[in-house]
Amino acid sequence: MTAASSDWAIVRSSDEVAEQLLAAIRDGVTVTAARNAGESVRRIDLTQMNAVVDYPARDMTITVQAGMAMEALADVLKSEDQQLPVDVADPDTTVGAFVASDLGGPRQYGYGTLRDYLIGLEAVDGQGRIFHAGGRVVKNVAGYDLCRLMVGSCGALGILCELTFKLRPIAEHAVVRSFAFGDRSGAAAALDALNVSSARPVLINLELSDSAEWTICVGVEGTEDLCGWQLQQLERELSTARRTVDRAMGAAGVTQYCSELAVRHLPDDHRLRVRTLPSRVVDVCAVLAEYRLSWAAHAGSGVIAGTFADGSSNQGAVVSRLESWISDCGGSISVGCQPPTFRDHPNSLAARLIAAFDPHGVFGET
Amino acid sequence: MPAESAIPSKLPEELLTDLAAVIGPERLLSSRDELLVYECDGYVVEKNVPDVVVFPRTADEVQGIVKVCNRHDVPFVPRGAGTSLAGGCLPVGGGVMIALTKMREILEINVRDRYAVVQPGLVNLHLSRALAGTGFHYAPDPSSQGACTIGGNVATNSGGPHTLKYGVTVNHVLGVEFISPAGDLIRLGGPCGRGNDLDLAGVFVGSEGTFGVVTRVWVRITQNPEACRTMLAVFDSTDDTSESISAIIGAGIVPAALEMMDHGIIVALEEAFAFGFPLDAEAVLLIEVDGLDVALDAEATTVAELCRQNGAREVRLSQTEEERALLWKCRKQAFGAIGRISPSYCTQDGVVPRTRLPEILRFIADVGERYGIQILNVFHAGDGNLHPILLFDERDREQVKQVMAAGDEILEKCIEMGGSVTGEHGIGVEKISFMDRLFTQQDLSVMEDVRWVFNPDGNCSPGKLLPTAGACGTEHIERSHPGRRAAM
Repeated sequence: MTAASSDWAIVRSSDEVAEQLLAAIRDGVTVTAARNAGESVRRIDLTQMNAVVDYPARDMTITVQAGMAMEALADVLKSEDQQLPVDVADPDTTVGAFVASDLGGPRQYGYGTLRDYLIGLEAVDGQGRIFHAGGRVVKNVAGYDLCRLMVGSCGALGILCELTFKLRPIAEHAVVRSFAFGDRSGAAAALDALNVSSARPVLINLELSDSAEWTICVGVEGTEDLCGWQLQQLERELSTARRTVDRAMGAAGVTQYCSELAVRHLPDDHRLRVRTLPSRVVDVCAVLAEYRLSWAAHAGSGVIAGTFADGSSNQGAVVSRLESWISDCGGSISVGCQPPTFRDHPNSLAARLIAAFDPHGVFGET
Repeated sequence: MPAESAIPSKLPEELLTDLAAVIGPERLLSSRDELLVYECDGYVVEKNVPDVVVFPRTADEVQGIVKVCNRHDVPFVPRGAGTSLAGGCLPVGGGVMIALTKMREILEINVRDRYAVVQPGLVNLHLSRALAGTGFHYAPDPSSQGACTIGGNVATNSGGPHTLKYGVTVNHVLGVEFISPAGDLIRLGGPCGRGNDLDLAGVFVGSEGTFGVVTRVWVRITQNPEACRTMLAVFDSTDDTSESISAIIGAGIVPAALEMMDHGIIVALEEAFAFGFPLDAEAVLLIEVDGLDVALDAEATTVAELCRQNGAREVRLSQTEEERALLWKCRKQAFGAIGRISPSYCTQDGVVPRTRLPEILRFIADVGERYGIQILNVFHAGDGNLHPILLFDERDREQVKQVMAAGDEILEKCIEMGGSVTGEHGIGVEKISFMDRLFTQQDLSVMEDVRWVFNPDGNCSPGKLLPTAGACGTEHIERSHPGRRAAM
């Protein structure tokens, strides 16, 4: 363990993470593994914990240390034509940070989210307890499924040290094609049609072009022939589109396209993020357009990001307008880049779980 | 082994009166004869009758029942169809069993947003039947899907043959509503998933009834594959069979299903269904690829070629939908067919990395020989999820002991190979003793904490899943049913 400064420690093992946490409890300070730690928080740097622990490629699973960068993980998997099918906005993001934040990208429509791929973990909780959950096999229901609990927990329950994922093969070919519509009703009808399409899109995105066209981008994968067949079906099913344009071609091109889209959904001080039902996406986007937010939506998954062009003066009004689209379906709205405060959630289970994992508040007030 | 002799209930008379006040006397069972039906699930080695069984129809009634139990300090356990295979709904220590089979309504189907809302007692298959014609289905398909309930699937995080491609229950649960052990109605998640909360619905799935009683479930529905190709690959050696599995997965192909059946099960199935299985084969693989029709012939050809390269003597393609349906009927009713050849059987649920299948199958055969037990194999090969079926006669206590020892050896080997003792059946009471071999004391301590958050008094499904869980349940065993573990 290296103490780079009193507020920053580089760790190389889960034992060292546990030592740091116990020290922080003694010192009465809060800690985080996040890169953007505030001044009053002690940062634990896991970037030296960046090794592949086990990669039995023929089993299609991999175990890595949490400090490995997502780009490095993708490179390792690419050597076996495999992937963790998630969209990464920042390639330098560590695997642990990515799991803790659970920021899904456009391909969550076809592939699901991280919660569908994390099958095992090692972490250290706020008492300094090193604990494991799941394992290294793709099917396993022994014990409580703490993997689900840790995905998207934003560091409230523990620091992730080691993670095991199940994997998917990289598609032989992939294409993203956009279909532009003159108005929102055309786009809404097209999204309805896509829900029962004879193609099997892996992503469906919605955006408003500079020329005020409502544009749906659809991604398909498979062999080149299969992609071609699916695109033919889409041309037929979305025949009311004004025009179509190929946005990305090839598996690598589509991955790059998805990463760029994921950037537009990253938390930001001027960004509002909404999760609602897919059928409500067009209406929510219309409200955002009305308030002059630039927006992009993973329309198939009901995930929308809007960016305020003029700071945050309208934030309250926009959130108020959107409440009715969110509240009855268990959706969510968040503004800014602060992680959610689970302790404030109406059901007390989250607060009690955090208290059980972190009784000393060493992970702060998430 | 025979059921234990009748044990007079030590529960207060007022409990029955209070329960009847919540649901009415007609939906309450308390006579010994009626209760016997509920003494076990599919894990028949351990049995215990509940003191009372109640059949609520609404969440309000479940809430009322739980509050009555708490008032009288009596444990309670939820039960679906009782098809679980690890004693997950065994009423350890007696108490009140909350049977959810009368809460079987489909409350909403929303095809546009791809979800359905159901009550916990809905039979799994009935949801897909209700979805017929919409182009969607409910993907998790346990072999017992014609009987098992979605609430039970949530409790055990059930899998099934098609979960190789489509995932297990937790991948399809968006939210749950439940009555907490304290009697509160709580909703986790919903049509949009977890929202800005922790993924509490995710951790609830697979909690084996220890977190509360499910009263409503939001499930994801999945677009039907346009077409499928179903194949039967025939092998003269189990080694070749498992090498083929490894080759298919290693080639990056994700079949919708990849199931293995060995010689013993083939014979039993042929007697039961007369499908035309080759009785001289050592093993067969049931392989299904699905998706867009235009791509399937090529994919099926690749799979068949990989099987042949690894020793398959024949690969048959199912020619008609009727033939495919019969093949799947054989697979899904394989356990029923065993009733023709053995009075009792015990099914294990170990998991190994897929590439270790040849090794574990050889080990299972060796265990069978050493213990003098016939062991059949029918399992989810693509997931590495074994179901060795150990045949015995439960009336013979010596056989019971042998079967349990043999089963333990197999599960120990699964752990040694980097696997798990359960892929889809759960820990229940059957595998509690393995938990401290799979997990460290700190792991178990953290899981204990999670359990405590949901179930602080341990009165909901005591004695399940964790070795130290539900001390109060153990006390009940000792107090009211001291002989329950006599057969162990």
